Amino acid sequence: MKGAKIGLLLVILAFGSTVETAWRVRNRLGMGAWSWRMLGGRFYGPSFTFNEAQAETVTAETPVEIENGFGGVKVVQGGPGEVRIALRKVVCLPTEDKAREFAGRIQLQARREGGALRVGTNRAELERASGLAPDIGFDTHLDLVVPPGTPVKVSNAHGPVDVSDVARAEVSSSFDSVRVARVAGPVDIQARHGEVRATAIKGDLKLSDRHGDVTIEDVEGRSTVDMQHGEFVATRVGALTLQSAHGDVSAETVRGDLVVHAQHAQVRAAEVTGRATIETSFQGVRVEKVGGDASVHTEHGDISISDAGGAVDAQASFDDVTLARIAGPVTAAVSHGALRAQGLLKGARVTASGDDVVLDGFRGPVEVVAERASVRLVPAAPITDVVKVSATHGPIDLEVPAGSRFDLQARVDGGGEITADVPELSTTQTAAGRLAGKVGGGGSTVVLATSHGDVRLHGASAVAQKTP
Amino acid sequence: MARPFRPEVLVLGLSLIALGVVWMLGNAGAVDTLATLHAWWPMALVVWGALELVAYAVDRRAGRS
Repeated sequence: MKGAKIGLLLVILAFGSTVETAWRVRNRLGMGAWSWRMLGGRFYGPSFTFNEAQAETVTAETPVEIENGFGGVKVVQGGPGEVRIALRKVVCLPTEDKAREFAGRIQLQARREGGALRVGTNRAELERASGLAPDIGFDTHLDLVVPPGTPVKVSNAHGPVDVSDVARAEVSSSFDSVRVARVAGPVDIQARHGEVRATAIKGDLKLSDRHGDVTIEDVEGRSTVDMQHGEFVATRVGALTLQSAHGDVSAETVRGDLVVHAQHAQVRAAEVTGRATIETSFQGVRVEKVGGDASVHTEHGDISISDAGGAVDAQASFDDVTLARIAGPVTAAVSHGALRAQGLLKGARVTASGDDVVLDGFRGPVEVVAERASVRLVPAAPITDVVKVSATHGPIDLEVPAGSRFDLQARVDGGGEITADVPELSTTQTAAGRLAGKVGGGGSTVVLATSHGDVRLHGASAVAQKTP
Repeated sequence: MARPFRPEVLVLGLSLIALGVVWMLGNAGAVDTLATLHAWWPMALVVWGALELVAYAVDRRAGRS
């Protein structure tokens, strides 16, 4: 045989092998935790579905407990006095006859234990049974219609859970989504790998999830959520306590206190009637319209707080802090970032380094300690409270509205200048790098000290009266 | 003198044409490319074998073998 023929034969066989391989792995390639992998096993291949139904007479408010392994569980509300159970059996076997024979061995089980109706299948017995091929995959999907006011408990491993219109719900799920809606009482959801959605809950909500997004809406009671690796969204909820990591957080319309302990999460909160306590890292925090106090801490992220009805405590690093319309006293600490505040009604204590500090339209006492930063203060009204500013490597600018009354002590070190364009200022002492005087006859204490920067006071002629 | 009949050249040419047509139809959405190739690729071996037999017969008639 010639070489060309051998070569062509090898090419055709190689091509054929490639096609055969591609055909076998078709639809069975998936992204595993670390690399592409082949999907296979007992749940692949032809499957056949068989149905079975059963009804159980129950008294009012009889708890229903459902246990399932592989397959979905759905619970809805029906008429009183009866629990209707539908079992859908999906068997993965090559032929319908074999699948039908196997499905006949899958039994729906409903029995009463401890006053509750327990619903499940004989999966455990089947899997333990001797002679049963271990590689037969089968799903059991349970659809239940329960009387009004039924407490429901669901334990499922591999399959979605959907519960609605029940008295209370307790759901445990491992590897699929959980949806709970319209529950008259408390809800407890323990999920591991799947999306969770809880809506219209009249009682308290306790929820944990490890890998998956969580959405809660219209929860009237207190919500306690512990989750990781997923986004969290809460809308129209009561008091909310959230423990979260590695997923963004959004809470809107919280009727009560909001407590968020997050890591690697961007946090956004709006319309919180109570207090807001938020801490996160490596992402920013945005808070809008808080009725009470707001305490926000983040590392390596920015903070923006607006329309706070109480005191504000903001601590950030490596990014900026922005405050607007704060009714209570402000305590802010920012390192390696700027602080820009507007409309502080009860003063501020600020520690900042690395970037500018601007307080625009403030009232009340102010104390600023800044390193490697400029400080600019623009009061909203005549200065009658204590203002103390200590800065290094940056200038201090203070605008002095008409009607201000204070004793001024200004000091610059390291070569800076003091300039005061304030008509009401009467100087009492001047020296190199020092200026003391009284504005408006004196009153509160204003101390402005910086090194390696200037101190500049701007008078009323150049300052318009500001209102926050 | 005419060149001798070489089945492998014909097989290669026909296979390339078939591959190109199937690929093109697959891109156009007319056929499932992988399913079609999976079903029909052994036809290249069948056609080649048939052409080898034809070539053998032609050579015998011409007295070359």
